[in-house]
Amino acid sequence: MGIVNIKDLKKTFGDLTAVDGISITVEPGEIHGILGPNGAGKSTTIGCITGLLPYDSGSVTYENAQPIGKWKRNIGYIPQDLAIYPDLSAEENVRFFCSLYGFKGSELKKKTEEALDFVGLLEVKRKKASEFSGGMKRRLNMACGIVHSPKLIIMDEPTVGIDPQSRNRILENVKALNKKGATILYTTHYMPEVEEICNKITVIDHGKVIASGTKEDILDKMGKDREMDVTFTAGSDGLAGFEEAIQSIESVHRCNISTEDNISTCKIFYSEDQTLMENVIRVAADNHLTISNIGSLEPSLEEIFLTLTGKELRDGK
Amino acid sequence: MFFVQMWKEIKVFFTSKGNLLFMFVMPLLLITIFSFALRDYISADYGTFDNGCIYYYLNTQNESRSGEFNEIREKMTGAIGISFEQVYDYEEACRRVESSKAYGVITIKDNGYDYFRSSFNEPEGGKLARTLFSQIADNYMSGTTSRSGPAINKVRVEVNKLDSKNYYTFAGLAFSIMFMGLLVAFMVYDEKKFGTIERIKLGGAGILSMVISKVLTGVICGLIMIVTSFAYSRTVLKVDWGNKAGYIVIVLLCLVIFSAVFGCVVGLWGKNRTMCQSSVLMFSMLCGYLGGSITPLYLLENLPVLRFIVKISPLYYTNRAIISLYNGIIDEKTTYSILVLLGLTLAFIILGIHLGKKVTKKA
Repeated sequence: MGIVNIKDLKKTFGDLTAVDGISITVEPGEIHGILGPNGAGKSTTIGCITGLLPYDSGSVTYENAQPIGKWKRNIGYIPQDLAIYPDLSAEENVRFFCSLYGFKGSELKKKTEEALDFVGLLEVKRKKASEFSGGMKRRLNMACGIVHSPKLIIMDEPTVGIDPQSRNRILENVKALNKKGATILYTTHYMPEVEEICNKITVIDHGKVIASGTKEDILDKMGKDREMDVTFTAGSDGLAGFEEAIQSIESVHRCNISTEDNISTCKIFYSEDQTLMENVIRVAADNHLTISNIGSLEPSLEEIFLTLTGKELRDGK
Repeated sequence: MFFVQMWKEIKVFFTSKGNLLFMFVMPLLLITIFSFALRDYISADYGTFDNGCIYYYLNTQNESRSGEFNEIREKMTGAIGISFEQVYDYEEACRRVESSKAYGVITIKDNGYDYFRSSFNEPEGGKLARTLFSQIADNYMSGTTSRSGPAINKVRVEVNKLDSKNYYTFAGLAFSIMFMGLLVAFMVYDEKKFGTIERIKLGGAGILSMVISKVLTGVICGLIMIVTSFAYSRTVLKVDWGNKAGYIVIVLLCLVIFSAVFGCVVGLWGKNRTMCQSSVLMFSMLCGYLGGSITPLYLLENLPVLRFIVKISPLYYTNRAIISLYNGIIDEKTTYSILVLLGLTLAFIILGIHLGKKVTKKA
């Protein structure tokens, strides 16, 4: 049983079916990325998870099959649009959202300062939010969402339009929050972010889940090959034996060898195999070949995403 | 939870220089500009009794009753300088009243008095004279005043001379209060725009407490405007708010509540800031013009078609009530004004609840 269990969730807006039978389980302690093109149903799904949007059918339950009810106080929401008061100082903003959860006095002060410190804004806590840079505002937005130490933190594209330093800080914060025990539900369009921080991914399109699992799971399910490139120093003796031995390895789908300017290169296409590199080095040695360079390439998440959702623009659809 | 939100609203409101400027400067500016720029409008002795005349028609042989009337007549003439003229053709007298030749016709009967007035064309002086006559006659009829005793002097007539400073102190303030709805509209709209509604709801607070806290902030702002204007008009313009100042504040407070609720509904409904701004400004300008906050009421009430149209403006009832209260008279105008404002407030609350549900769904 996960911390969030979504089963056959459906939500329509008039004739438009925004979410069409989505089922997702978010396990405690994971960073779960939700990916999907514009209009895929991500925001609607998040709205249903937070209880801010009523759904038509299906179910969303939380820890130990609880309904949203009071459990929503365990949710920290960090929306894409800045949900802060520009005329208040950083401290006043964080303090206000914290006090909504019933914190008072010294505990309120402590939590406020911890949250501000966590996002690196403690030193400028008395500055008005309107005077902050884009990145600082994003971090303040984050502090407001996590100040009450929620079990589940929902982040809706929290790094849109900010400088690399602030983005890095936010990603570091996400990892730190996860280490502290918070479960993170993260939506973004930046694939490198998902690759860097998420240990589980759900790809949504047209209101349906089209892939879910770890990146490796998705690659395997899609039958996408990984690629390993091996370059040898001069000399082609033993290449035939090497090719034959490599082809016989179970995870290898095909192997192409080419020689140019007396330098031979071998491209090996294979499925998930942690021991392949070790085996390649051993086979090369057995065939008296000297490796000058070896490296493996995995298909990027972006490539997977585009394969799954297509390359057609989704503007306004 | 509510107090947390209320405190936040007050902080947000009072940290904005624009809000402070609006609250403290706008009413004073309007009052001053209108008082001086439009002073010729009000020089027409609005609400006084110059050349005023009331007809009376004797329909009784009872000497005691006619003697009583003569006493009332003398007192009124002495107090406000109004003249009385006996008529013998009641129908003709009524026609003359309809064509503004006199304020009204008093019929003296065995069992009391009838007062005929033009229901469409009664001037402000006529209304005041009628109210005064009713008060004195009631005292006689109820026996609280003996015919020749000195008790009649207890009926004190306080008719303040209404000049532009007096008139626009109230009319300008009422106009500013209407504009105050804009601040509330922005407060509500900004909460939607900033997306903070979602966070507030996740924290367990409802939209209702958020809306109430904003309306109350608007009411506080309105009260500050009233107090500031009171102090300014008393000290700088030397305007005496009269002995019914408390009632004037009550009427203005009803206007403040109405304006705050109206602003709140606009904020919930508005799709962007410009839409909120245009709606409140248009409504306020319309109410202000029709309600006599720019052009004085007596002018509007004497224009053929406009005299009916002005009644759609809540400010019309407010300004009418305040003029009476300023003259020391609590009459049906005060009641109408309060009822109209609170009735409209209720209507907007119902509309606001409907819109609030929509916002909750969207959120």
